Amino acid sequence: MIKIVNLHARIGDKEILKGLNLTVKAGEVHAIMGPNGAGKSTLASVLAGREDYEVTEGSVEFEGKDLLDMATDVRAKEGIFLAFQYPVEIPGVSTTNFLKTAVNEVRTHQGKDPLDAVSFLGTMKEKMKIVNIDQSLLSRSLNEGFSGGEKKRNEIFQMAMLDPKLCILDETDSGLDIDALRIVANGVNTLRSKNNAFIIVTHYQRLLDYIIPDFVHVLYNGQIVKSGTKELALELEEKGYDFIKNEVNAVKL
Amino acid sequence: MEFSELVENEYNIISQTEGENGFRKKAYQQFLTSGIPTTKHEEWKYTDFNKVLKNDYIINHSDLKKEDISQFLFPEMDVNLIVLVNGFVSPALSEIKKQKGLEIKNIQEVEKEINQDIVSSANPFLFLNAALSTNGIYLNILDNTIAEKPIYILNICDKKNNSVLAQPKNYIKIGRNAQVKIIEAYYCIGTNNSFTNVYTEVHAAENSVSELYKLQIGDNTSSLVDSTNVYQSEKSTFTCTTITLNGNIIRNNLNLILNGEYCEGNMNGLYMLNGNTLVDNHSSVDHAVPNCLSNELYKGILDEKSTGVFNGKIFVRKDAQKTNAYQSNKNLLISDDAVVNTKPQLEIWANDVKCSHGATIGKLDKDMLFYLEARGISKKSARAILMNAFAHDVIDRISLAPLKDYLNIFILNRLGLNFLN
Repeated sequence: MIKIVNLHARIGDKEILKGLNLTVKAGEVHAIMGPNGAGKSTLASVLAGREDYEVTEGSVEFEGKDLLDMATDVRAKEGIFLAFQYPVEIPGVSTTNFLKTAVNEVRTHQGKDPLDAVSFLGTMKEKMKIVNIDQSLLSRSLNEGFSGGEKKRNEIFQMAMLDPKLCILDETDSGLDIDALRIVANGVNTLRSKNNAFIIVTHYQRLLDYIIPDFVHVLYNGQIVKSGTKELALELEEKGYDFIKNEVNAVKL
Repeated sequence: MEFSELVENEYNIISQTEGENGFRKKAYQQFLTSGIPTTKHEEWKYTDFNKVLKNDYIINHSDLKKEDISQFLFPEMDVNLIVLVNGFVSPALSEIKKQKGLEIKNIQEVEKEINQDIVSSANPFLFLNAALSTNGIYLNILDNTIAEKPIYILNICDKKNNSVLAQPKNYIKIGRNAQVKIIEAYYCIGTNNSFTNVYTEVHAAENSVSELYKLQIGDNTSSLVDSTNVYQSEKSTFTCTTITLNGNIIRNNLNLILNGEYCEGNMNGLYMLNGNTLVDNHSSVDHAVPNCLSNELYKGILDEKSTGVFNGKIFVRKDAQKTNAYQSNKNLLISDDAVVNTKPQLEIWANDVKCSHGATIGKLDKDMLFYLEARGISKKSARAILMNAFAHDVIDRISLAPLKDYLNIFILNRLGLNFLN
């Protein structure tokens, strides 16, 4: 589904990704773990198309197309979804109105008919159940005054509405209590299928108790330095990131 | 014809038909002394009407038909409709339903009884209006009367055949415990130029509650000076909302004079401009007595080569202790050519007051744009959504639902958005 080769990216003068390689196939869930500052969120932002980052080298192929060549909205229309670590609050825009615009722009791009008000509402009702989100929340201004848990549930709800191929979750577990974490993870598990794929960026192993990954990668200093299965996450939890750092630095020496 | 010549001719004609009128004469003389202000005048620094007034204007009646004005009506709102064409009341187009305690007249009929305060204003356009105005609305909501229907004062300049100068004058008296909602709209028809110079005076008596909406939707050859003085008595609540969406040069002078304790004066404004439109909102609130509240929120969205000016004065007199006065002006610059000049001006002589003011000028928020685009929304739509959201809190304060819907649709259409269907 996505093939990232030798990806280098920087913000300003600071190089953050330094030759990252990753391939994700349909039906897979990949967890990206790593210490603070390793480049985890940068990877998520670069894939989604945040303009602050400049890709200096490497390629990203998404469903056979050059992802880096696409505008932010086109990436989303082609099936990339980023669940934000810090969802933006937008006063004056209700989730419902904004999502209707988004869903219909995406559908039009994919050659489908736009949804009318009735079918949109029907789809909404159905998807709301996935993350147990309330209608009244969705008619309020987008994320404004939402609790941390409500914001993250809203992200997963939007994911369900847009039905993407590749979902990138950027530290979705940060700031969530255990109940909210369960709801969010449960939502993700419901949406998992053999046709889509997930990249789950997280600092802690905790989320991976609920969303079981097929692969776990450790990102350190702008590169993936170690890959394994879910046991690697447990090992990291036990030993901390220092063991990876030591390992990498030992190789360098 | 030169503008000064037009004014002189017009004044002479009115004086001959109407006979001696000290008030008019004095105003005319004051106008001759002041002239049309240039940009050297501090209060008119960014806004010069001299070039607008170079056009060949005529003061004339025009017979519009009902079908000509239907586009300016609110089909879903039952109103008392008063139509003025080129500054003259049109009884044929107006539709007034009688209500006990509600008097609606042409100001011509009662001119002798009212004594408008224009001298203290030092506003040359008020002098001009007082010198030349013969028509307008006299609205009297008697004590304890609640106006059942909103009053809709529809001003249209018909400039199909010639350039038009219109000078209506309104006098609104809101009695004790009375309540009313008034919409004043300014539209035009035709491609010549128009210049409207309107003065509205509002007297809000004790415990009255009133809302005044100004809807300024002209075109790029229509200019407007809209001066409004509001005198509030004890415990009255008055809210003015000025929405400017189109025009050539527009100047609003809105002055609230809080003369009684426990008054509340609200001023809301939205200017959403494109093309070469210039809108200058000058407002002042005069806290003359203690324990009053004033609240001002003006927001501007400026695109293309438009210009916005905001000047908000708050005076808190020495005796006006326990005053609460809040002011906020927020601007969004959409294009690199758009300009905004904003100036909060607070003069506070009392020491036990709560006053705040803020003025911001910014661009669309990058993080918000990214968030919307990351959901598949094109850059153009994302920008439009954020502009619509920016306008939202002013529109949201409008209590008349059909007016609110009309403005929402107007704004969405301009932005090319279609959430509503």
